[in-house]
Amino acid sequence: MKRPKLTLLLFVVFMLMLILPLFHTLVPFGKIAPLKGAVQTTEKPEWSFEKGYEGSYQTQFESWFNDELSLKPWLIRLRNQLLYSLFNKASARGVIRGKENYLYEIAYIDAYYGRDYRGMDILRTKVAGIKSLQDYLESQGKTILVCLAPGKASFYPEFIPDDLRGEPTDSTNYLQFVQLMQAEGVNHLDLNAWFMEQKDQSDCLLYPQYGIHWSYYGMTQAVNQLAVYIETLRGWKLPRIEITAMERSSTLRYADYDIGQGMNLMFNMKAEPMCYPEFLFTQGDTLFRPKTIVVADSYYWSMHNAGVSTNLFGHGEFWYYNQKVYHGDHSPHETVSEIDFQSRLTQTDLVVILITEANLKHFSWGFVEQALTAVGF
Amino acid sequence: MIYHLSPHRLRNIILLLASLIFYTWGAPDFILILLASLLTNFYIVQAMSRTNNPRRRKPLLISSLLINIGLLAYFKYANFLVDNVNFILGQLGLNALHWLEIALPIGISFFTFQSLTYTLDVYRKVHDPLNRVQDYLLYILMFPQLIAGPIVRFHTVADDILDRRHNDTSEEKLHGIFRFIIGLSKKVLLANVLGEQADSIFASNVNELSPNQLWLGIVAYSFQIYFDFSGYSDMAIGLGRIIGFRFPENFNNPYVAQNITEFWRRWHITLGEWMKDYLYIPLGGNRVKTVSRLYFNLFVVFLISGLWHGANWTFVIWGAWHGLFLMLDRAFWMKWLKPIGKFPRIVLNYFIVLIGWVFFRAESLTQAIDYLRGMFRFSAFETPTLSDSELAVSLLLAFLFAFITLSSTGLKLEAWFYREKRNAWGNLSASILFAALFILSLAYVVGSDFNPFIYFRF
Repeated sequence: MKRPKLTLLLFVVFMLMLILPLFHTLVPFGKIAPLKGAVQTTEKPEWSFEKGYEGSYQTQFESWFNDELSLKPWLIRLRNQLLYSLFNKASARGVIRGKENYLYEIAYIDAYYGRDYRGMDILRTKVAGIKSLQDYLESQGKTILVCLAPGKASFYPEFIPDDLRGEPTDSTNYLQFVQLMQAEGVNHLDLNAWFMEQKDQSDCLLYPQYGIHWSYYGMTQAVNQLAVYIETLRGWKLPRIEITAMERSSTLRYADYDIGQGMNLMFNMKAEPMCYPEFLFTQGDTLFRPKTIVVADSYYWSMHNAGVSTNLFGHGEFWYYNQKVYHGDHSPHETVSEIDFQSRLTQTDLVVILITEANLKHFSWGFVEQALTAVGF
Repeated sequence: MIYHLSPHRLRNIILLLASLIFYTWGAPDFILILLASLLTNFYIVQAMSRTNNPRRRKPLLISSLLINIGLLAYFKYANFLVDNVNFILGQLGLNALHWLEIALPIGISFFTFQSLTYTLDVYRKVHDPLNRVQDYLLYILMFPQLIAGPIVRFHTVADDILDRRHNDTSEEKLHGIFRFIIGLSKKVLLANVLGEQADSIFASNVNELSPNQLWLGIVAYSFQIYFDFSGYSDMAIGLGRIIGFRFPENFNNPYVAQNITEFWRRWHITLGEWMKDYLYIPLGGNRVKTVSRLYFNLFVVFLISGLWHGANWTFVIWGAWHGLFLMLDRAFWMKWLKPIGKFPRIVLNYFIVLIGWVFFRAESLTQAIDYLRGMFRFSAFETPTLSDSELAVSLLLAFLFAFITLSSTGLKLEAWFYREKRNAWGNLSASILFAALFILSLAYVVGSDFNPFIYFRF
């Protein structure tokens, strides 16, 4: 091919490449998987002369247009993969790449080293509040308990990157909460401590390398621990999880790859085999399913999705961060601000506050205070 | 695409429309003032060119200069002036003047200087004026170089505005694309990464940072500003080539300069040329009777050059710092440094430039002084560590690309990247490399919220 023809052809190819993102957005072809995780998008702005004159329309339009680019997910994955593979960088907000490729969220490391410690005065007030609520509910024949979910930094301190390490301290929300709850006689189940005890004894990983929550297998163990604890408290006989089969797989499922997914890489990271149990909830006429409100962070999602809200609890409600109410029967969700708080509390047998150490700084997300107000404290 | 598919006679109109949309999109509140001032200037210059009577030409010249400089002075320096007057009034115990802050129109320093060259080139009869108002508007508003240069002097581009079919070759366009991608990569892959680090250090309380961090911050900034600005210039030159214009070069490896005089022949070349042609020479330039007048001319040019970059005392000091070393170069500095050899001179000059960048980057004189003091707190030096591998690699690459032409291999590599004509294999291999760089840059642009162009604010 003569040089002018070749240069013309190359010029045309580059021009097509320049307009490809726009063309692909208008006429999408090929399948590009959407981005995973919390992705903030901009709404299409409405034109007005004022907005156009002051420039806010243009800014919002550019942001919206950037979000609308159909090749954006692919381009972001490409960038994230390069940053991850070349520079050990995790591109999801708050995600830290630890030693041996263990992924953390910074809030968990901060909580482990007490960097988010709220101080004894606040913790005492919090524990006093829950103790008052516990006493009141007990007088009504009901039970409340705090279940401390494990934290990844506590479970895997050995993989925390050197530049984020700190001095071990007793001044952490988790350690002080446990001490205060023990001292005040608040019902609590410390699954953080239990997970650490089981870490070297369990055949299956209780905590995943690329997830921030307990592993799917770890969740099943946590359910049974919770059931045992409630039985001890109340004398009820509750259903249990019974594992019927076990599969080991390097293709991670459920929340075992949740941070990994949020990092939006082009290729999945190589993983150790994880256990994926098949299980049933035990059945029987003697078993009791307490009507339960679970006020929880995201650790409860895997339990809720596994059927705990219906099979372990009767008509279980999942009050996600004390904001949205999800039902075990998958009926439409509600918001806490709209429901009759007092009546829900009256109708329940059991309240579980399930919270991980990274969230203890926001303990109960206002639930205890709202409940005390509702019952007249 | 539309431009290239259109007949030649319509291309200027298409380009002007695109440029108007571009500027209106970015500065809608200023476009009408800009157009009104440009139209007035066009007809004043037309009138000036039609007469040979100096009594008529001079007033027309002065009117045109007043319009251009007046707009720049009002929009860029009025806030600064009022702030300083209010400071003095405050010191005297008097009430401050009431004043509403004026927003700085994007690119005003660049297009004002271009407009001035039009007036002055026509006045000096270096080139005839443009007959059609749309051609004049195109010269000033052409989008590739409208907001951050290079500053294209009128006589260097006047003929191409009227007819540039001689530049309309596929080789020229392909080279333009390559050049654009080089600029985009410099900006996105190097300048932005380094800028993030520099910004975070300059945003911190400098008194709490170690000397290592402060040195890291200013070194990162020195490379950020170079790759950001030269990257933008490459993009502008590349886009110009694609549409048939040959804009002047703006950078030539400035950090390999051995003294400040040489630095200014390599850094922001079009500003230096502008200052020389339209300020330094009219002041008398080198052809003056006394050495003190020569130094005065140099110092004034650099004070104004500093002030051109921004209405802040930090820019004035930066300009004065460079002006001082230009005077010293002439006086004895270059002679004194001759025996120490080329590389020590380059290192020393880079050090002088770095000190200047502290003033240039700092938000205030106080911050600049604190920053410099911290940089030289030798007792607090620590063993340097760089845990961010992306930053480390970016710094290393920036260092390599900034100083690569000191080696013959580096010179060859640079020549290959910027080569205008290639054989078939050269074009194919360059296309593969530049396509990969383009996709990578696009991924960084789309995936990163941090994407400011520094020179937009000047």
